Parts: sequence; structure tokens; C-alpha cells
Amino acid sequence: MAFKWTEGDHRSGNILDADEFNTSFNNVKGEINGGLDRENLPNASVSNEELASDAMVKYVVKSGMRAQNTTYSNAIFTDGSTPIPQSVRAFNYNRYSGGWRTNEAEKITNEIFQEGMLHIEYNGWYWLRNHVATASSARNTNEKHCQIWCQFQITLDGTPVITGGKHYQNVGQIHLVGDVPISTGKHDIALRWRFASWPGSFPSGATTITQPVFYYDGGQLTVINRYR
Amino acid sequence: MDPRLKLEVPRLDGVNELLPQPNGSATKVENFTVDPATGGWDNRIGYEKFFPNAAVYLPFLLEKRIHSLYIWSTHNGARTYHLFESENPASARCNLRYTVGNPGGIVEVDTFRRVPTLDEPVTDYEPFGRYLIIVNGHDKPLKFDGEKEGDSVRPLGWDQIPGSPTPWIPDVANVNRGNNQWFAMQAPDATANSLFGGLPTGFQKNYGLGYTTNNAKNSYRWRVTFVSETGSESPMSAPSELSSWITDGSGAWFSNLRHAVYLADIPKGPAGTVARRIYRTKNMGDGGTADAQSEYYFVAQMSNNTETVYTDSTPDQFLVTLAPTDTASVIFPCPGARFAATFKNCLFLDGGQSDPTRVYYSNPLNPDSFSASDYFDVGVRDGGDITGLFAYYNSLILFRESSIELVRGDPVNGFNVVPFIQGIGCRAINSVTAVPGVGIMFLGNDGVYRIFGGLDGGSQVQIEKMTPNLVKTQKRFNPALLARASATYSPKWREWHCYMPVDGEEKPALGLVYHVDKNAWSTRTGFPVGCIAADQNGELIFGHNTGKPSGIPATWETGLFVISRARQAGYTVNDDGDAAIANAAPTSIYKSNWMDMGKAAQKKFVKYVYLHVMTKGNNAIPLKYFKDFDYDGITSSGEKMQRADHPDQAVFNTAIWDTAVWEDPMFTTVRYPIALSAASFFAFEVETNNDFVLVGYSLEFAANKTHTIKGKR
Repeated sequence: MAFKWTEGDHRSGNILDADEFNTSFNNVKGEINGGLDRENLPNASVSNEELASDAMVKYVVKSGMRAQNTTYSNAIFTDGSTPIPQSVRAFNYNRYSGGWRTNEAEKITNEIFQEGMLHIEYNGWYWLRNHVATASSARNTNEKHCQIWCQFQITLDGTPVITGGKHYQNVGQIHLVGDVPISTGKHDIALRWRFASWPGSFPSGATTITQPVFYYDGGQLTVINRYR
Repeated sequence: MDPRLKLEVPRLDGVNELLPQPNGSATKVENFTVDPATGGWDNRIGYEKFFPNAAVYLPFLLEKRIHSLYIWSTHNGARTYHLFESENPASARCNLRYTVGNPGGIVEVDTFRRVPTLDEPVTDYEPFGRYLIIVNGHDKPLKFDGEKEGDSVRPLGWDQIPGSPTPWIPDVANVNRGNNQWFAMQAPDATANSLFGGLPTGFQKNYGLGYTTNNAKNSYRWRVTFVSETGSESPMSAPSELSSWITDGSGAWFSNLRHAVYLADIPKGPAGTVARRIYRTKNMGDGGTADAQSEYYFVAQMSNNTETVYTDSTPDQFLVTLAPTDTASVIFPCPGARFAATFKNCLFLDGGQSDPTRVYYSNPLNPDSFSASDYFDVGVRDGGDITGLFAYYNSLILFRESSIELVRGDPVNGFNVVPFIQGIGCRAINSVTAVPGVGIMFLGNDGVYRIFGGLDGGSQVQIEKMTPNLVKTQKRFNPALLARASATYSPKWREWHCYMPVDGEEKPALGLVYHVDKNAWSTRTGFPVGCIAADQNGELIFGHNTGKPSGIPATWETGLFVISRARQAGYTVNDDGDAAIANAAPTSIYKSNWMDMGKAAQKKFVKYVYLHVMTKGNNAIPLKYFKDFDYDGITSSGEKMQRADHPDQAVFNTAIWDTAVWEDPMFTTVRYPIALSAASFFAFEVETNNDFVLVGYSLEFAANKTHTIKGKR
């Protein structure tokens, strides 16, 4: 409640009515002691000058997030005639067969937040060798539907709260943002990812399942807890 | 003293205009509230600006009459919207707005709204979940959702049917024609395709649309709906054009395959749409055989309002959920709705002036979607147009001009209307109020009524007239304009306030106040209430009934005001026009009943009136007394509200700081001598704007054997 109106009018000639005075005084005093809200306070009336650092928020940053448990394997490129192997750190289909995976090694864990809202942002880049599934640099029209993709998700205590779209480009930037209500206590915020599983049986030709397919790095997870 | 010559009235009742009046009742109780400490009449009231410290009436500047006011408390009271409609002099229309606190400001919600005529109800507000439904019978019904970036108000209901999507035709022969696409479902082991992946083994047979047998005919149609932020689903679009093809049986690598179908032109919904749903038939084949069918099934939801294409590869066997029927959600049926009420999770709306005996109700929890058959028509019984809706206990009260009906039931088992009472109606829907311990109070055509009780658990709904004794006051009502009456209940004051046009006037000019604790009536005058509402703390806030007149008025008030303990009857703007100066306190009048002291025919000689009061200070209060219903009375000298035989209590302006002590009001008796000849009836009146708490009174009188003389011929 913000608006307070007259509870007692102390008029000339009236007795010094203690109850009347107390009622009107306490009306305002009670508002100050816990009733102040946006209706009382002008915009920008409480700025950084008036607030101690982190008085109303807490933030946690997890930086340097990257794909875990990856391996070096050769990506085969061709200069038009000669296959050229290049060793790349990434996932391949020897280590991944589909489904969401959580980056358990690099997450915000057991962090104490207060009741309010949690603003979550994740930024990072990925690399996706999306033509591996088709195994040819000379794809024709009929193969376009076979492109693979990758996708990212943010979980709060295991529950997905932000899910990005599917990415089909070879290299891209991930930007996930969301705000969720949060309770007081310890919470985990983690990154999950997935990319398309092998789209068929083992193919013939140059492609092998040991070729690198997907990698992400340079990730930073920022959470801002705004207290209620 | 002979006890027979004393009349003791220790407790005071309210106004009773029915003659002869019982002892303790009053002829007039004007501008009083109830003193909670004594149960007496307390005149410490007044009204002040909504923003008391603002210059003049800011942020209200030019507002004319405030036509409607609703206080919507959200976020546990931390965010309270004071929504009001005021006339905009520039557009000669109404603006729907709300106030913000500090600095005091006004936010526009909707503009160019219809100014209600003098005899029609004003805008009706009804909470529905996190929305506030706003209807006025003329402008598009709205749902208000608090502060939002951009639009803070959305139209209620669906006023359009989604357009149909355009399905492309599968390019089964891989010839790259226009508006065809090649989206065949391939198997990884197909000879020509093994290098390129495709679906895992087995999916080829199941995924996608169409038959795989040679030269089989395939045909499908699609429909689309919008989903609003309330979760309401729009009417279904018309079916799309037929997408049909014949399964290629040429034996080529692309033969005998199922296909995905590319849908273009998926319609975007109006503001507030958060998703679109796509429905499809199963394969209708050549349309002439047993597989021909017209049922639509849910395919997918596009959880946005931006994309306009979709590729449908969901096979028929995955289609399980039937689409809503064409009648499950229709175009908003009552764009002219005047009244709204929420009952059993459904939003009830009247049909408006063009459909005045019909009530529509929404699908449960979906205020935007209305089924084609979900309405009543009460015009089959006498009672006139619908004049208001109000949810009460386990029923929805349906007010009509001269009858009241009840809506019973629930959305699962269906609703039905049952007549409640004929001959009593209510044109003043803004007077209908739930009052704790009393029931539903409303201003009927001939007085104030209450509905109480219920229909469940052996209870019974009853109606009772609450003002049978206000026979004179009721005659002052202006029946043509009762629709503009406005009432509210304040838990803080424990009063029900109702302001209505009287004496042929066009604006509310008289307030009728029911004091719950005393079960008594009083009146309010001099409070320019156009419409009134109580906030969650019981503060009585009202919109001015006149506002700022055109031109350069001598004095004026505008905007919102609050009935409070401020001892002022509003303001006068100074000559410079830059300050609003508080007026004197409102004048309060208490006039006792006409007392015959036991026998009207016998003449009495009243000697003293003793007022039982609470000490208030040195401001003198005179008393006027009357005999035998005379118009003119005799005014006594004013008496201070101090104990007569004790030192005065310290008062403001003479008390000395650090010497005087705080005081408590004390119960005392103040004696007024009466100089009056023989009277059959006696009454007294106190008229003052000094602070005054009247608890009771007593009379001291003498009587002899003189009786009223013989009547005149």
C-alpha cells in the first residue's frame, strides 16, 4: 500500500487527543516501516549512491565453459581431389548417439539464491560439421534434408528453463536468455546440449563415425538473482 | 426529579422517516460516521485530494466528470491500479487511465471511448485471473493486464477467424515445379540414396504423409487456430485448399515414398497471440471411398506468432487428438457487452443493447473463447432487459429491470437460469456490493435491498428491503438515472456508501450510508461523488461528479478524491490558479426524531436537553429546538464540548509545549436549556462543522393535564 490519507485532523480549539494524534502519526510511520513501494518512491530516487553493493542482487558468473570428454580425431577435407586430414577436438559418433547431455563439469552448483527472480544468460560459440552426415562436399539437391543440427538448453535444478532453437550452420553463436522465479536455497544451473544423432545406418563412402562433428567453447553462464 | 419527566436515549439509531418515529431514531443524520469507541455519531469526516501534496489537483488538470472508477489490487496490494474514465475535453470522448504514485502521474490505457449517456450504466470492470475485463456496451471489450511494454490492454475475445494455410503439393516425380516441393521420406538403404543418410530403417514406412502403394491417391486439408496469452483458442480457420497427389509408382528411386508437406501462409494472430495450432485430416485418399473423412486432428503447435511456414511430416497414425469442433470457439459473440461477471471459472457477459436479454459465457478459464451454444436468453420471461451480473455464493445473480434471476450449475454439467423474484429489479449495477454479514446490497428501483442466504446446504436465498423507513429520501431518487448510482463497501469505515442522482438532478448528489455496526442509515451531502470505490484497505476513493468546467471557472475541483478524516469539504482554487485551498469542514446535521414523550395528546414543557458527548474541545456547538413539526426552531447558545464542572482539557493553539499533556476524549453530558412553550412533539437539531461525537441524549420535561384542543372545522 502506498497511498495514505488523513487519519486525524488536529484542529485549533480541539483537545490534545492522544488517540487521534497516534492514529494519524502511526498511519504514516507504519508506511515507512515496511510499506514503502513504488507508489511512494519517485523513479530513480534510490540509485547506486544509496545502495550498498549487491544489496538487492547477487550474481554468479561461470566462464570458460566448453565441451567436455571430447577427443581428437581427423576431419577429412578435400582440396578437390586429395583428402586432407586435420586433427580436431570434438565429439564424434563414436562417443555420441543422441540425446541431451549436461555439462556436469562446468556448471553453477550449490549456489545459494534468495527468493525472487533469476536472470540467466549464456553466451558461447559452437562448431558443427553438419555435412558429415551426408559425407560429401559435393552434395546435391536431394541431400539437403539430411543436414544435422545442434541445440542448447539451460537447466535449473535439472529442469529445462531455456531451450534454444536448432542450429544448422557450421559455426555459430549461442545466446540464451531467460528469467525465472526462484526460491530461497541452493540451486544448480547447468548447460545441456545435443546434436542430431546419426541419421541412418553406417554409411559407405568416405565418411566414418570417427570424424569430428560437434564442439562448443568460449561459454559464459551469467546468473543474476534479483531479490523479491 | 420525577422519573416520569425524563426521557433517556442512551443509544442513537439512524434515520427513520416513518411517522411516528421511535425513540432514538433520527429525522436527519447528515455527514456522520460511527464512532467505534462509543457507537455514537461522529462527524469527523471530509474529503481531500488523491495526491494531497500536489499543486492544485495535479496530475489531474482538465478532467471533467469521472464516469467510472475501479480499484484493482495486484501483487498482494503492492501494485494497485486506480483505473478511471474521465472526459477528455479535446476529443469529447472518454479516456481510460490509471494513476501512478510518485511523482503523481497518469497512464493512458485506452482513448476515444464513448462517453456514457446520463441514463446508462458506466464501464463495468471484472477481474478474471490476472486480467481485468473492461466492458462498457459501446467500445471494444478489453482485458487489462497491468503494465506492459507497449500495449497494456488487449481486446477481449476473437474478432477474426484465422486465414487458411496454403499447402504445397509434394513433388512426387521430382520435377521441380512451382509450388511443389520435394520432401520425400527416404530410407537409408535406398539404392540411390544410401550415401546421403535419410530416415532410420523402418521410419520410411511410417513417417510422412501419403500412401506408399503404386498410384495411390492422397489428399489432405489443414486448418489453423490462434492461441491467446490467456490460453484461449480461436475459432478454426476455414479448411485449406486440398493438397493431393498420386504416389509415384514409376519405379525410380523416389517412387513409393511418403512425403512431408510444406505449409505456407500460416496466419499470424492479433496482438496477444502466443501460439498457432495446426490441425489436419488424415489421408482422405481420392475422397470417394471409405478413407474419405472430414475430421481434423491436432498436428502441432507453433509456439510463436512470427513464423509463417510449417512442414508437416506427422504421419496419420500419430494423429490422436481430435480438433475442437467448429462450435467450440466462435467469433466473440457479444462485442457490445455492458456487464461482466466471473462465475465458476467462466466469464459471463451480457449481449449488449442490441441483444439485451441474452447472457453469454466463455469456456472455463478461457475468457477469450466462447462456444456457439453457450448462452441463455432470459427474454422468455417478464422482467425487462438485463441490467447487471454479480456472482454471489454458489449462484450468479442476474439483475433485470424488474426481476432477479439466478444462474446455477457449472461448466461441466451445464448452467441453467432459475427465476428468483419478480417485481424487484435493479438498474444500478454499480451499486451492487457484497457486504460482510449483510449479503449483497443493491439499490433497487424503490430503495435499497439485500440478498442473503444461499441455495445449498439447506439454505435459502432471501431478499429484504433495507430502507422501508426512508420513505422521504427514497422519493428523492431520480429513477431515470439510477444506472449512474455508484456504491461500495468500506471495511475500514464499516459503511456501505451509495451515491445517486436525486431531486431530478443529473449527477449523483446524495449519499446514502449504511452503518453496519449500528444497522442504521445516514446521508452524505456536499460530497461531489460521481463514482466511488474502496481500495483493499477500505479507503473510500471517488471520482468527481463535475470536474473542471469549460472556460475559466471561479472555483473548481477535478480528478480523484478521498473520503477521510480531513476536516475539509474539498478545495477552492485561488485567484492565481496555482493552489487549491482547503474549504471549511463539511456541515453535519443531527436532527432527533419527533418525540411525543409517551403521549402526543398531552402538552409537555421541555426544560433541558442533555447531550451525551465525548469531549472535543473549546469549539462551541449550538443546539436548535423545535416543537410540533414547525419549520422554524429556536437556537440556543453554543456550548463547548468540555466537562461543565471540571477544568477544561488542554486544546490545540492554547496548550503550552512541554506543559500540557495529551488528553483522552471523555464521556460527558452537556446541558442545553430549552425555552419553549407547551408542545405535543419536540425535536432538536445540532448543525455544526466543529468536531462532535454524539452518543445519546436525555430530555428533562414537565407535563400537566393540558391536552391538545379540539380539532378545527
